[in-house]
Amino acid sequence: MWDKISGIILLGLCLNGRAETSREPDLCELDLEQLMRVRVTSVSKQPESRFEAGAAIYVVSNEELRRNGFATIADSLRTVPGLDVGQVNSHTWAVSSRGFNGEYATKLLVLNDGRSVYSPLSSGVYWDALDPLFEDVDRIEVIRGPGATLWGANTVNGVINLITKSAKDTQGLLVAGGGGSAERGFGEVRYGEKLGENAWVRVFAKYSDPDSLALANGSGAADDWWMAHTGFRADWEATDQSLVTLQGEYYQGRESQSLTEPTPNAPYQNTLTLHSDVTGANFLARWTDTISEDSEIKVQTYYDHTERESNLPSERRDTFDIEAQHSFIWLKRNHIVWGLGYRVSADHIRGDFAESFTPDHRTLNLFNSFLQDELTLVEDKLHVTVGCKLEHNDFTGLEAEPSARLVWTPTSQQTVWAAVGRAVRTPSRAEDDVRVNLATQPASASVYSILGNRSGVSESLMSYELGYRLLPHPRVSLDLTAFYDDYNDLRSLQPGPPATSPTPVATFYSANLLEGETYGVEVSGTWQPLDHWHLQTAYTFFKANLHAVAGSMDPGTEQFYEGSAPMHQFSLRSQVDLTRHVELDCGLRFVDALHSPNIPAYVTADVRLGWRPNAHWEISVSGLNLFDNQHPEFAPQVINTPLREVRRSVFGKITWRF
Amino acid sequence: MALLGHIFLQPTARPRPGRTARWCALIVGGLAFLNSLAAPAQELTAPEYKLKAAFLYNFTKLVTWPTNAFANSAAPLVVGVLGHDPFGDDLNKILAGRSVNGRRLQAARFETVEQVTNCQVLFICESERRKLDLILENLQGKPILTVSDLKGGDPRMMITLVKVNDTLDLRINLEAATRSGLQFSSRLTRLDKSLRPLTGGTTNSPPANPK
Repeated sequence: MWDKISGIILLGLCLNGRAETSREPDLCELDLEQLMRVRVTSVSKQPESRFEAGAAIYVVSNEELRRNGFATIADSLRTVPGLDVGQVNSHTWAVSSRGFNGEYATKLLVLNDGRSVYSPLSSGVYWDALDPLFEDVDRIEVIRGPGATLWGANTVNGVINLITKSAKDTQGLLVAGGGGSAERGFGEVRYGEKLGENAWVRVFAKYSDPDSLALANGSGAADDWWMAHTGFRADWEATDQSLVTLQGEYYQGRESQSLTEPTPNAPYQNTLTLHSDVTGANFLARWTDTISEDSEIKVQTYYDHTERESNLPSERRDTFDIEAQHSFIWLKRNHIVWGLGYRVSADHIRGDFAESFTPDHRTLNLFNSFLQDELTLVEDKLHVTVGCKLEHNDFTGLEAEPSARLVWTPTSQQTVWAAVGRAVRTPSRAEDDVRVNLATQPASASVYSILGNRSGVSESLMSYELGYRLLPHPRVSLDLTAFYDDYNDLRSLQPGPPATSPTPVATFYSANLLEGETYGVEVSGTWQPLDHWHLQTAYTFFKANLHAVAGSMDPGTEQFYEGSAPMHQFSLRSQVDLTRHVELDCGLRFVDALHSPNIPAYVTADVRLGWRPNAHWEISVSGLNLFDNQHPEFAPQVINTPLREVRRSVFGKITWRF
Repeated sequence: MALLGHIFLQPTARPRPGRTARWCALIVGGLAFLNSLAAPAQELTAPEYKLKAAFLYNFTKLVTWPTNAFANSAAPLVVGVLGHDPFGDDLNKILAGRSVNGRRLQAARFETVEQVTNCQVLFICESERRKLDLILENLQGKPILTVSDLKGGDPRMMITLVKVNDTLDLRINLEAATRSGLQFSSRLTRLDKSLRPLTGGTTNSPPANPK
């Protein structure tokens, strides 16, 4: 929703966090020479308050992003405890938390500087277009579990909030480039300049050219792509109290993939290589006014245009969004946040035989309002946060998304929290209006058809969470979360009257005749055995138990959902400063088997070696997926393409800052 | 589109050979080995003013004051902040319970330069920029270590903290310190990279030259 009002603040939790992040040394123990090597973090970058947050929150700092050594944002999320990331093809990722993963993981909301990148067409996220310069990213906040009271519908299993730095903090010239096996070549340029006494701007451009993934036999999967990205951000401190931010970007890319399409006539299918032209532009303006120490108003508006043109169905979409928010302290004990928003999104879709939309043009309106109060019951010890969002959408009308959170901080080393909340996922345009024709396997007689259904309702979740954080020692931290999620009206399929032209062998309609429970435990810990050695580990257990409701003739959607997330995930990461100038970062990842799609378990490792001879230069080499030549992580669920496998890869990067 | 097509698609997958245990052992063992070789590196992070508070604490250890700087032998060593205080609680926390050369460390806050008495280190805040001439005139000759982090710096300050690429550097005006009767340890002066080798204690770097 917002950029500066970060999730941590919005979740209504004390900002005066006192938890030491484990990379922060005991400064009194350092002499001057050592102090001169400590890097300054500004207050806004402090992830400290997450210790007292009443939610399952994790913040990927710019430093972590850099040292993880991945090349894309989606890959970088692999290190976030509780997230499940699988690459589907070279330009598509499945990212979710708490189950229901997929190429179109419908229950996770993703925001880029307050701009939603969640597609109303498919309810998925176009990760290929989320492509900032890593250097300009301030942090990525990841909140697992429902966040609908603040972020609205579709924040069912979590929200990912990518926040870029102020132009003030990205001054000067930066040139970076590199390449390797999976990343064939990339280049980045950014220039930041002071515009006046209190105004700053940066402009950037980025180009990347990733290679194809592999097919099972080791040959290339013909899904390579390139993406070019340019943009700007300007920040103007108009007065001591008000800040104006303007930012915009334009991107263009071309993505290939080979797939098998159904055709209207025998042999009812055709294998082809598809090229998609991906284009987008967006512009955002935000105004923040700090009326007093206790009161703040923010207004934000953006326009977004996206196009995905190919010889498959093509989408063109224009979105306009405006929202306002006011937070203030009332009667000393109440921290109140309320807001209003409106979004309109219009699409034009060109279908083909495999996928078509009726109507091919539709405009969707979304109104929302929310109110939240964080009430201090006992100063510095006990807080309760209650709130509700009311939304009106064109699919299902009015939706209410209330939540309540309790945070108890018995000592400065411990936090206990509990939360209960409701969230909904509103229908996607596809679930309303699509017709999908699928070739029978093996291709023989005709096709199957699946049709959308406008009488569908929202999927709904009641979520119960319990969390505990502990700092047993200044160099050790522990974070535990357990959740139980109760879902109703999940999407299923229901056989129905046969569609025509051509008449399929079977016709299914989208329905809501599935329900069930998921539960799990997410554990993460950090340990800093030495000043220059930082360890982080995470373990996630997840289980889903879904069932069709009476009257359902669903052909097996519950297994499709249940099997889409690993039961066990484990990771271990190590960051070592070998010398003042040399960094060695290693990660080990275990991901359990998936049953739908059918993917074996895998263990793999990533290593990055970085050399920073001085403040101007940085040279790094990353080796990714080192343990085997290739392995699959996820499979396409809709488009019929062969399984893609992620290769072992290496790339180098040189960065020059001036 | 999202959930609709799944039931008909059953991508083939094959089991992976397990050969990871050896790799794990290698990686973990390798890490431990490399770590044992590693020289301590200090690329750590801290909030800006917490870090600056730690600098002030260190200065008290590396500067020698004339005896007349203190009211008596039991008087505390006072680190004062003049102007709109950016440290919050961090300065108090760092100084709390510590002492240097037998003197307890204590933080103090001043709104105007006239209030500055019984003070050995004075941090002059950004808010005082317009009153600098008055302040420095008032402090002239007094055994008070002047420190600031004014943007652009002011060459009359004895120590200026400068942010360079996210880390803090020092600019030292040795002449101003000497004139006020303070002695800087060489462990302090050598950290100003712009200070040339001293010849008679008068050579200063261009940015630190008095006007």
